[in-house]
Amino acid sequence: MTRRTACIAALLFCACRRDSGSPGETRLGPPPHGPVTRLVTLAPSLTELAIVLGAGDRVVGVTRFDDAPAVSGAVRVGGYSDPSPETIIRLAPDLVVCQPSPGNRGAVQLVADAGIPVQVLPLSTLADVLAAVHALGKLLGREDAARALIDDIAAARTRAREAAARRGTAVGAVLLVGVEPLVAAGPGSFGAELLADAGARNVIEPSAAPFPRLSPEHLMALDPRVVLMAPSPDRTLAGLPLQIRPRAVLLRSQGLARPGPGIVEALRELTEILDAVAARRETPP
Amino acid sequence: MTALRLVRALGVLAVVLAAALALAVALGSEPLDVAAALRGVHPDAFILASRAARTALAAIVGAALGISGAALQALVENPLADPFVLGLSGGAAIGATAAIAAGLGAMGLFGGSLVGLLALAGALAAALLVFSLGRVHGRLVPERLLLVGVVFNAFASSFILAVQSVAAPDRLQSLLSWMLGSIGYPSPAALAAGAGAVLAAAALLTWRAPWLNALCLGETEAHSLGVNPDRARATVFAACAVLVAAATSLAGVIGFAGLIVPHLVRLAFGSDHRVLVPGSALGGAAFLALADLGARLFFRAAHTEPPTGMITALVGAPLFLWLLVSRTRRSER
Repeated sequence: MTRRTACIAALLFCACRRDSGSPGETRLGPPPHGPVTRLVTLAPSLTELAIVLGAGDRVVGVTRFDDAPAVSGAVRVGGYSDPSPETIIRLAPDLVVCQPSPGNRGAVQLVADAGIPVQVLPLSTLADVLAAVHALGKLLGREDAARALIDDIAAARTRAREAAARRGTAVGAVLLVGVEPLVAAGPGSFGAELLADAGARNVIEPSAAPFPRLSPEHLMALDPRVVLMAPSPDRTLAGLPLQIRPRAVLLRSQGLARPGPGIVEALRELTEILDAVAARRETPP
Repeated sequence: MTALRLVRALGVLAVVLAAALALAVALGSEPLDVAAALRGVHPDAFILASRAARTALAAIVGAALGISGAALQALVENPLADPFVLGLSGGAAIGATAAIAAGLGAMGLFGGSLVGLLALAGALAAALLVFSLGRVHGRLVPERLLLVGVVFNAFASSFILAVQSVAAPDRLQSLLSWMLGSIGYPSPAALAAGAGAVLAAAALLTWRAPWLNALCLGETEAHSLGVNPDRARATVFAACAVLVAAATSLAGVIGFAGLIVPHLVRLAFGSDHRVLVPGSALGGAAFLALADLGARLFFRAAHTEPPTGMITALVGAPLFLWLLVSRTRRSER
């Protein structure tokens, strides 16, 4: 490498920087002063975490997608990827918690620039969720509740693994998080981790992206024993290939769509479904 | 057009722009106490400053689109031409789409977003390509330029669809938002760089507005007026490329502003490019500042803020059709 090339590379390296909202940089703006009494959450998963930790009454702002009754009176501050910085700033919260997203990056940075503490909490994997529970518990002064939730999740995972061991057989499964187009939980995703805990064999190839799109033909070629469909408001199988519909199960638990306290219920439901599918296989025709 | 009429026309448009900017800063998703903000009371002062930066961005992008629309309509001698018909938006979209799909949406470089900078590079590369293919024997041919631009945009659309079909679902929202064009809260560095590029290109086009008048008369007449059509077209094209590249890198692809604003200014003040070019800059700035205000105000009940490009299309499409119909009726009378 010539000196000139090296200089250009060094200049670009110095000029490049990861901005707010990216993994690895978890706090923006000043640190919270004292106990948090006015909280704004920018994802329903984070709202549910705050409620479970016993801080639902401190939530003053939520997204338009939040449907938990405990925050029905909170101000709607926009969406997950399009929050309104003006509305958040006007609420004068002690803390804003959000997930990292390119869409909310500018708005969240503006809120931090206004002197409001912002905590960025990724929820992409189970480890992320546990770290978020711990961090939020500490910020809200609810460490005991956070520890209890982490213990609950660990116990639910242990129960699911024990049930899988009793079942003996790994049921081939796919978890669809979208239907039109077909989008599955691939390796490294939160949903795939829950499938693994519950003893399912994720039929999505290990080399696939965390959320690969599937063609109907590819889904049929993968030949899953059960097609698990993440909960959706319309709860319909429309959009799923006809040949696959008999294997489809609409999940009730929000835990697969919203990484958070719902993990406990999601693992229980997954275990029930996989037990039922395995039992059908063992029953002679 | 006399100097007095020119000054009067630009004065009217400047007043319209000033009113639009004042409205865009005073109104928003939250009430603002301007007097308290001017006294430095928090958070009003902060909201006022951020709104002012956002409105400035809208004005800069709107001015760039308006002035380039007016110039390109003269360059290709086609009233349907807009800043995006020459493939510049397609090039910008290829750069931005590739950056977002590759997960570079959160990266910054020299105070701007990497997506914006790749969009800028894409638009300038597309401009070079269209310029090279739009020439025959060293001369820029308007019809050929138009055809190459349209074909390049079609290719870019297919490329974007291909990238979208393999992109991670969590990046699709960002892609959609960029493709529809959104005014955000810019960094001072991005705002200054955008303003500098737009001011320089707009000043050049305003200075060379008589060239555009000559081009509209045809090549022979342009020659007889002392204007070299080849040189004039190349200069106008380069200035427009800079304007559109700057606008798209700052706000994504915002349609209709570059099409509708020159027509409105032409309708109000005539076709003289000495008023049409700077007038379209002032009008474009006012149009986009108001469109962005609409995006902030009209969807408050739904707790959302749509991309500004959606508002410009919602307002611009019916307005353009109304202009078309009213002009036809007037010519029939």
